Amino acid sequence: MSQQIARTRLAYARTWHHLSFATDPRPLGRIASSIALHLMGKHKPIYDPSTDCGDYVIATSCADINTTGKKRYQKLYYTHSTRPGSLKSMSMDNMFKKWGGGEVLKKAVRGMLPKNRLRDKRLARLKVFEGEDHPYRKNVVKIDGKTVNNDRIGHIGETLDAVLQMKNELPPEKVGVAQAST
Amino acid sequence: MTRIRRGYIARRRRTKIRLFASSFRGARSRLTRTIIQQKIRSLVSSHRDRDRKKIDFRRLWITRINAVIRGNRVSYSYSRLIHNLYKRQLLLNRKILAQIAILNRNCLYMISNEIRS
Repeated sequence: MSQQIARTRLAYARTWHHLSFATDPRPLGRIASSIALHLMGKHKPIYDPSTDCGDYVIATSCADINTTGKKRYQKLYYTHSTRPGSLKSMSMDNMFKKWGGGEVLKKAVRGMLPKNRLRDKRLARLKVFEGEDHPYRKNVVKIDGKTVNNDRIGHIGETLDAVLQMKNELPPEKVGVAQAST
Repeated sequence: MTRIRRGYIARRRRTKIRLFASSFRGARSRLTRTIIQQKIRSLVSSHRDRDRKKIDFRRLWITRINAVIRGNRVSYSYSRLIHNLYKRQLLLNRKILAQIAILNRNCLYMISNEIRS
């Protein structure tokens, strides 16, 4: 059955994707949705809900997160400490000032992950940074000097193929998305 | 009336059931009354899940095909692929498409580009 095929360590290895809000103009929710898919591993053909086959995502320049409309000043984040009368709200702008764009992104992605025991583990694989610097530069795979993952998380299907080609498991023909054949 | 013991009749019946539940965890494989209940539950589960298995695997195949198809081009999706498949009367089922997606992703891209007309 398909369950026994591609049960290799390489196929289940977690890849690191890099995403910079400085260069990505998409708004918060759309990017968060894409991030959640990658944290779940739903971009992989070997996806299985019982295994945690998700990847790492590095999100940099979170201070530059783009939101449309007046959400920045009107969207409220609520907290409650279960003590009666302790409902507090904070606008997204104040969230940015106090906790940073990383927290805003994490809240968005957290709501988009399935609410089960894997949620926190998957969220922990999202690494957020306010600036462009991050300590995971060596984890992001580069082939021929070019980063395998795009800044726009979307066409990540080519990552596994590229890594497999690097390890000579696939024939050395041109692998990757068949976008040229339009 | 003389006293009649039941003998080994009940024990023979229960031994068969105990053999069925011999791999269960804890008291479920040791205590007779629990064993009888757990055997019934397990048979109910297997009866129900024989049909669920077909449903669950189809859902898994669809998710996997969707994952690979969306990685190809921007506004393509599983639903459009299936629509094109039916339009061109291609008889590949989801199981085979999922296998192709795992083993030979470029082949799936070629198929989807071919039927995309």
